[in-house]
Amino acid sequence: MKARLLIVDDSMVIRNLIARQMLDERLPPIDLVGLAGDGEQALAIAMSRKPDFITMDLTMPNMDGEACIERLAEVLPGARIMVVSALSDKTTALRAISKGAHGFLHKPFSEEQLVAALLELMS
Amino acid sequence: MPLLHTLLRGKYRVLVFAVAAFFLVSVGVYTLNYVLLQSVERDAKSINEGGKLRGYSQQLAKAVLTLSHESAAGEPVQTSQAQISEAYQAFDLALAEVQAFAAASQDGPALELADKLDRQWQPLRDAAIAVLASATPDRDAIDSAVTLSNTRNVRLLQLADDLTHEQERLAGDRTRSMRVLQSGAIAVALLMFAFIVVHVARRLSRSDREAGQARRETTDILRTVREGLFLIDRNGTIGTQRSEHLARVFPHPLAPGENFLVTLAALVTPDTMDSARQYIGLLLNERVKPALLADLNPLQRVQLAQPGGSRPKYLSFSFQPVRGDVGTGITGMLVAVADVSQEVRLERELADAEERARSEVALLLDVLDKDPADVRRFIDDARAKLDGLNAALRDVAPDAGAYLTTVTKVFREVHSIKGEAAALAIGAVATQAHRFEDELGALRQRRTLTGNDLIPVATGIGHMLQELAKIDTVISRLAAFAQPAADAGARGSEMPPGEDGVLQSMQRIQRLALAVAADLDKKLRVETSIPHVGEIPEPVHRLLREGLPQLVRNAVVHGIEAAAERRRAGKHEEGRLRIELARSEDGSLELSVTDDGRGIDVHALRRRLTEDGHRPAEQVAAMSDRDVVATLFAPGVSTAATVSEHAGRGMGLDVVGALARETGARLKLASTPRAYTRFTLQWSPA
Repeated sequence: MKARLLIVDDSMVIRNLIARQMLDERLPPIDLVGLAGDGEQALAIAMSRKPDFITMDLTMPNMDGEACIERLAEVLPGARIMVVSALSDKTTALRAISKGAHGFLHKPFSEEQLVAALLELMS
Repeated sequence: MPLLHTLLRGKYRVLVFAVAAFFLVSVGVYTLNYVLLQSVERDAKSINEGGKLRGYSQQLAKAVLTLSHESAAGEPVQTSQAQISEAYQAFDLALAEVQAFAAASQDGPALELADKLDRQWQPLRDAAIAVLASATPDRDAIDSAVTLSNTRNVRLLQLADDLTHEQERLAGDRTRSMRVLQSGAIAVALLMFAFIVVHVARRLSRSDREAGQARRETTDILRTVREGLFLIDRNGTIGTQRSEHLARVFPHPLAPGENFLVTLAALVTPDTMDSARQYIGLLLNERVKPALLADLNPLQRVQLAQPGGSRPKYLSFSFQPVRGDVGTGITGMLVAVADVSQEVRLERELADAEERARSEVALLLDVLDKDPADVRRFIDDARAKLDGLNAALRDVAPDAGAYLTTVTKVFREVHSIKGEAAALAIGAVATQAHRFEDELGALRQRRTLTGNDLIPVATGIGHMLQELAKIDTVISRLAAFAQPAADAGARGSEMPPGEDGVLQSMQRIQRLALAVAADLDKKLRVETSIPHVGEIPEPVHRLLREGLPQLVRNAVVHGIEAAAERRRAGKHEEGRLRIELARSEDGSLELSVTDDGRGIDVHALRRRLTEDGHRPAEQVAAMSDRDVVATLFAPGVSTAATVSEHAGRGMGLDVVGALARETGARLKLASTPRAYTRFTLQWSPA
């Protein structure tokens, strides 16, 4: 069964960058269930498509990543969420993890770092 | 059950088996005792029955004789018959008992004696029964009974005696066996008891030794380890064991039972503390992977609040979850603390050294394309100013007011040096002066200054002198390197200042203006106009060197607007700055700096004066516009919103004002809001 992934980022460039990497042969087969540009969209897609894994930006319009992680932990507790953010301070990462994130990847990232982080998230 | 399981598998196993064996042996001894006592009781009864046989035999003989006499005398014989009946029945019973005992004992002689007894008894028994057949027994039966009684009684007595002796011998044998067995069993029990005592004592002694050894090793580790180590429970309560080094590393005593987080909160910033609580909470959370938190420790390198004046202290904390017995999960944390102040200082020094190395190369490149004479003059002037400041620091009167005046004076001079350095594009000095200004600015903000506050001022002056010395060294080396060319008649570095010098000054100023504009992202065109002005007196040269950079910088920073703002105001997006030096017909020299920027906003200036607290609001309100504008030339007034390397400290025009006074120039200012500002300095002919 394919892993179901949702990508959440307000930058189309980043969304596409992550999506392109899904075909990397080191990763298990992945079914991309949606791309969301903000927290509200992410919640709506997550509720209907029930992804197993989510990559989550933090700074986004409408609903930011932290609030979205908090809501997802309530409505979709089985999903594993990896924060992908340019906010590199420890406080932000700790806060995201305590809200329910399972991984953290700093922007900018290399393809290698993205694949490694996704493998870790899916392990 | 778990307790039994633990006992049977653990170090107490041997002890448990020994106690069980001791118990079994004890039960065995008691059982054996019981059985042997029964046997002894039986023996006693048997001996007793043997004795009874003698009695019954004699009783029978006596009764038979009595019956014989009574019969002969014609007396009634019923009583004797009754006694005979009683005696022979009792003998029968006693003999049956004796036979049973003999059979039970399996003793040959006893069986034989019992058998003999039986054989001797039977004829007598039959004769006795015969005399009982009738109330008046016949004489023959009586005589037969008497005869048998006389002959058999002695024999029976002898056999009964023999049997009794045999039974006593048997009983004696059995008693001895019992004693041996009992003694043996007691010896075994005692041995086992001794084994248990010795084993327990050895076990306890070994445990004590091991515990003592473990305690000593733990103490050695805690005394020797070069980290502060201690344990906290899930709530942050500190445990009883800690390394000795902890007292040297951590600035507060951490008493057992105290809460570590409460103590730490007083030493770090609230933000760091919030992160630390979050981090520790996540470490204690079994669901969060430790790898996820590996790089997120907010206390990995943290500066502690130290009493004023102490060197900053940096500590590194690491936390290792502690798990209790199987199934209890994380019970607390092992905290390791190390003092990394030295490491941090070394890193900073290394970074500074790298920065210095970079700045020295930059310095070399900076001075390579400058006129050595200009650089030399700048160095000499700057040194003279800094030496003067050092002297002022030495002689300052010991009161807060004098300290503030001195700091302000240092600030002004350093600002002036920065301006000149920037004009000459000697970035290293300009940057250092800017940093020094930051420190001086912070001092000026204080209400009361003490003598100690002047120490960093003296240090800062020292650093600037060092920086100047480096440039001096560089240009001396360059000069030595270029000596042959100089000897060949090239322009010397001691050429007196003249119009050429003025032209070069203007070019530098033009470069400075463009550099400042580029830094601030402003578009700028600089025009200079220097018709033939003849000889320039030294005071004017000084103003061109020290004051003009301030005026130009002031115009670019405060006057010229950003391109977008200029477009909105309907102006060309490229600002215009015009610098003119001219001699009028009456021989006076006039230097003017004009920008087509936003002009001077008197209202903003008034507001700033009030907000900065330089003057009471009522006084500011009562001032005329002219007086308000005049404050631009007082120390510490600026209309820039932020401090940058270029402006905003409110010190540039103060320098210009002071220079104007010192060089005898007349300073004029003309401005129209949103149109232009012009500063003019005028020197009357000597």
